[in-house]
Amino acid sequence: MRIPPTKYGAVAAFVVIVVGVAIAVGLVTALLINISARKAEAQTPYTRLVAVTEDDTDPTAWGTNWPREYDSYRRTATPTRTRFGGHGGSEAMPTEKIERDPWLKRMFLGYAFAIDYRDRRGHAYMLADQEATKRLSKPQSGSCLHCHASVMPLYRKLGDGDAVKGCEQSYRLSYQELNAMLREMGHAHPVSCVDCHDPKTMQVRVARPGFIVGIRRLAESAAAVPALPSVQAWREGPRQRPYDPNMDASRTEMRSFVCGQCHVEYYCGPKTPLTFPWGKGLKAEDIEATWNPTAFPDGTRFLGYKHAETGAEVLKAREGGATEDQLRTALELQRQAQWRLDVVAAENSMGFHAPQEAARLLGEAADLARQGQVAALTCQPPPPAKP
Amino acid sequence: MLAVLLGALLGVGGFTFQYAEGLSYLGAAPGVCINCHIMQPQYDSWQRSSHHGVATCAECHLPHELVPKYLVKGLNDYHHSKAFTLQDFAEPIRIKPGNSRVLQENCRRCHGDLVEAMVAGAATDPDAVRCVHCHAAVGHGETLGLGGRDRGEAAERSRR
Repeated sequence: MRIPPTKYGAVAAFVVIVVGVAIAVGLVTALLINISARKAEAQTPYTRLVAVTEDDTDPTAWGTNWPREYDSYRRTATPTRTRFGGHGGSEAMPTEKIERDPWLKRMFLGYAFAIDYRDRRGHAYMLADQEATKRLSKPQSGSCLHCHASVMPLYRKLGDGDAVKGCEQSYRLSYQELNAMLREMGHAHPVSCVDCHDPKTMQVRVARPGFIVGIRRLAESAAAVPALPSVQAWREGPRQRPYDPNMDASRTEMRSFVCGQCHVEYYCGPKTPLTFPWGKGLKAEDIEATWNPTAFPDGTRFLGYKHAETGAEVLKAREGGATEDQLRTALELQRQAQWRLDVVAAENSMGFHAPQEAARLLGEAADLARQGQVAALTCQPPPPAKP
Repeated sequence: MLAVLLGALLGVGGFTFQYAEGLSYLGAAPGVCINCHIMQPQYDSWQRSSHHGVATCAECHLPHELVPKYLVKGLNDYHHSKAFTLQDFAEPIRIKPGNSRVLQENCRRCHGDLVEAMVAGAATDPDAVRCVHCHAAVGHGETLGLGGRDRGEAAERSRR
């Protein structure tokens, strides 16, 4: 049998088309599988190369798993500044604020901040800068480490597993003692991944005992909390257990809470455990109302420091005839004015926080300080009567 | 037989096109740019940038004139699909000179009235300083802490 030549052509064409289409289908399928693989990658944005636990305070271990996040964490070492403050762009220590603004030194006389008070640097330096400050030439409490190191494993050790208990004891130890324990345990790192992330799930969480106890007191108070709906919800609920930010708060609230573990007003002196004074609310006046009736365990009135210069003026004024009673008003006003100014200075070193609230508090501070001056002037002895 | 083959090609091809969200590339929604996860950081940082309310991906990264727009878009689509499919590119991904010129043009499109005197040479001189050299964060978020990088007063002065 003979196949006509035209049929060879048809068979060849048929084979070419079949092979061609087969290759095309193969390529399209390969592309489909490739796209599927890329899409699968998007479902697993990280690969856990090393296990991390509650005790892994060293961020480099976490950096193996989450290199991008670690990169941005390391950028906290980069000098940044606004026109109001920040660090001056070298490895040297930042500028002394108390030399740039000598009134700060005078205001803090009697307080360690009159010895050494510099511009801030990024998180990467928080522990190194604290260890280097000349404020340590005065006795300082171990409470200071609460916000300058990845301190949770040390708290758990001090409290036999209970970090809140451990933290409550740490104020009795000197800064140097607690720091030595921290170094010995190998946790001498600045605030680290584990302080805000659950090592199992990466969930944002709070760990600092000061915050957990403080926000619980806020929840149990009647203070208005318009910005914290989860606290309001807890108050309206059965209240069978204390408010727990890690269980009750929304993700939006948690994103503020993690910062609020440290970037808030607190007392960390040597006389009482570290306290976040939120039992009557979060505003400067609420905190003032919390502190005012507070006494130290030794019965003396709660204070941050005793001002060295007005202390001296008290003596001088007494010689002039002013009694301690007469001066009490002026000193009380100094306390109130100083408190408002300090709230602004402490939270606002870079000049960006809550401008309206800062302006309100500064206005009150100026008013109270002026009232204090007037009160002090009226204490002066009357001019000698003319014959 | 042939019909079956062509049908299979059409079916697999059609499904692949749909699965890869092929039609979405005809639009200009920013979400299209993260069809591929490699762009996720760029998308996230754009959301955190000062321009996210006023400019989308395409508005900064593509020419606005009809023909150049689809020419650049087509070229980018080709390069990006090829690179992401074959995985033959280096990370971190960086903008190429051609796209950088497009970007600079788009800065001037809105801000030209204000900066024309400063950037007049930027369109022709390949070494000209581009807007994003200093304003790196306007399109893709603040990568640093408060206030931006401090280059040091001495360094700033010596540069003047």
